[in-house]
Amino acid sequence: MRTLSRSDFCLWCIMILLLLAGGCAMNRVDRQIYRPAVATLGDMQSHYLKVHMTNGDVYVLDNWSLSKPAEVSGEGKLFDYNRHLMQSGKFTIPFKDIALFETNEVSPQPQIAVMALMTGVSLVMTIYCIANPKACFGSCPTFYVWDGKRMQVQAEGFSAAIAPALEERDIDALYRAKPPNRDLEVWITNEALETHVIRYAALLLAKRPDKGRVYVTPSGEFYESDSNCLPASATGAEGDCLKKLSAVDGDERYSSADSTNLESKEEISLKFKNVPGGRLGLVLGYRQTLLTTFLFYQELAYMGNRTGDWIAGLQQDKMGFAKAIKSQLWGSLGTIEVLVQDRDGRWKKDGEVSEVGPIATNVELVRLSTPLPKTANIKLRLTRGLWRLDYAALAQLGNEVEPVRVLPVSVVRGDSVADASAKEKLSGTGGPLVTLPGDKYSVIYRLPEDFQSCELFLDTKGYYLEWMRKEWEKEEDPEMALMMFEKPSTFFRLLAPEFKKIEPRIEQDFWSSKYVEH
Amino acid sequence: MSSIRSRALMILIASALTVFVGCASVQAPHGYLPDASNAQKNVYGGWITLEYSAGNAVETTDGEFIAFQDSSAYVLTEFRLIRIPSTDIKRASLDIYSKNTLLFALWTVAGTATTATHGWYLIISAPLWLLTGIPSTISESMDGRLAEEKPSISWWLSTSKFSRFPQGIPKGIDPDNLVLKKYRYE
Repeated sequence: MRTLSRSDFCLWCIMILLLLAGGCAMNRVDRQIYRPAVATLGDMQSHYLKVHMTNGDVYVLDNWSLSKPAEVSGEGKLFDYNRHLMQSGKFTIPFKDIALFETNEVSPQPQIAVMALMTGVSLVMTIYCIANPKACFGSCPTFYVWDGKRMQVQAEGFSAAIAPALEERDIDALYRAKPPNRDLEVWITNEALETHVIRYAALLLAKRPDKGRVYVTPSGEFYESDSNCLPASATGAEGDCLKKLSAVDGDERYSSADSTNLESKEEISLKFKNVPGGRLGLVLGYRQTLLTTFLFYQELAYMGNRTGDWIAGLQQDKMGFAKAIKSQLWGSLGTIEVLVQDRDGRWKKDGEVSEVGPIATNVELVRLSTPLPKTANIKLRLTRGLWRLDYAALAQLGNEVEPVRVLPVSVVRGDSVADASAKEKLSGTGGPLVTLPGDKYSVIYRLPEDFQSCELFLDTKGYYLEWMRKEWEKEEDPEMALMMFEKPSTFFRLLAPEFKKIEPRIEQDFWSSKYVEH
Repeated sequence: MSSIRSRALMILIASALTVFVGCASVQAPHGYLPDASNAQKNVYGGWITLEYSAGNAVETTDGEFIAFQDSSAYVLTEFRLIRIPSTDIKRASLDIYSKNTLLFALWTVAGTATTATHGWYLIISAPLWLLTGIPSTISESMDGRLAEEKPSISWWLSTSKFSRFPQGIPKGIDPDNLVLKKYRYE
């Protein structure tokens, strides 16, 4: 948790004083005049009663009452017509000498309630953002596609490409896309405090088998599959998790991170019965939790004001930063390893998936080279608290296919501005498209007539630059920044308690803090 | 980035201050008016400012609102009691109790400034502060004041309760003997 700066603290002290002053001093007055002939106790509601006399004198009475008919009594003061104090004490005043009664009702200003409410809301937001600056803002390039009901975020591009030196190509299955017609609309949005540099964004189309699907491997190979075989059982540390892995439906299996070491691993055991013959692969639907986002933001915080220097060093690959990020940071946290028990009962690693990013679910295929028995056991080994698993199934693989590449036919910037230049850029011919927070491009891809039998993939390339937040600068610590590259295991152990503090609410905070809502 | 955010915030605050300049200011001398809580015990009339025709000229006078009677307003200035027929009055403005406009304005500015601690949520919270703070400040600046162009008799009758003598100037009082409240003039 960061602390308030001295100026912010002073500002909040002033706010509290203003709130107290406002509560004490801000009232309004409603004054009423009554003639003695018509005055009744029921009408006159006032703490003080002013009694204007026919000779110009005035009484100001406290604890007053209309005790007898045609008489008012109370304690107070008497002033003459020039308002000099003449007498203090108890008075009984006959109506016959009274010209008027005056009451004043004092009530709080209604504006006070509004201002007090705003102060309260502001204070809550200040506390919230101070307590949790690493979850306060969204992250990653995002792609929306129609899922049959609404435009749904279905892919996040090159999430691990956090600097020009780490620029990468990323192929994401648009597994839940349901194009309503031949013109597929894809929204490319920048909803975070980042600069996105997109070299291209193309669509890849592969014809599906009659009742099957086409899957992509992490290395970018595409395979047809006629049928999937769901696990007969799935068991994690928490027990049965089969239901959560049986469909790409957003009902995900995840665990919490280890409180002492963020690298701690866990295993999920999958048992498959009636395993078909032939070439097989394991289809996994997954995304990351916000652990990597936290670590990334924390690392930027440790880099502090020198982040530019670090990124420049990364760009020039001084000290092997780019390699270190790939091998040390992502490598230490690890992948989702697929371990297969062969027909002799031995366990061997047979592949892995590891796409970075907490926003969109990836659906990828791990080709299995190990022949499986009729009843097969597969284990997934993964870092605790790092992955959200939505789907796991064995796929009987058909042919490897070469998808058709489709480029944008039109691009609209914002809601209405046709942007020919962006179309060129997203086609990979006009230089990169650079987007800033709040930018949105609606990209149209023309699909073939049999589009409903096509599997869709998004092929993007680029990188992005995270914007520094002022509140991060206060945590600048070059030694800690370097530790992530040099001693990632120590780094992950030291940060475990910090992450555990925010882990229960980080997901909710993250999604509720998108810079832009599309 | 934070400098962009700070600049945007400064522009918002400067805009708010510009709006506040247009708020109604108190015309009574400093120290004359009670605050709202003490107005219920105050035994003096409100502070009235009148623009009225005097021959071909338009003059302005201000002082304690003594009474409204015989279709005329009576104003006790620093020097004497003046009677002005209501038909000559072009504009009347009556302050009844002191306002806290400055407090509201400061509250709004400080509240808007605190949104700097909201990260990018300030895009919502800063305008929200201004949308609530500016109307509240303007409303406060109008509170405790009654103003009217060419006030009618009915306006005067409803306003006379804020004079020293709502019943009218009592018989037997020598107008030359009336004295103004002693206040600290600054």
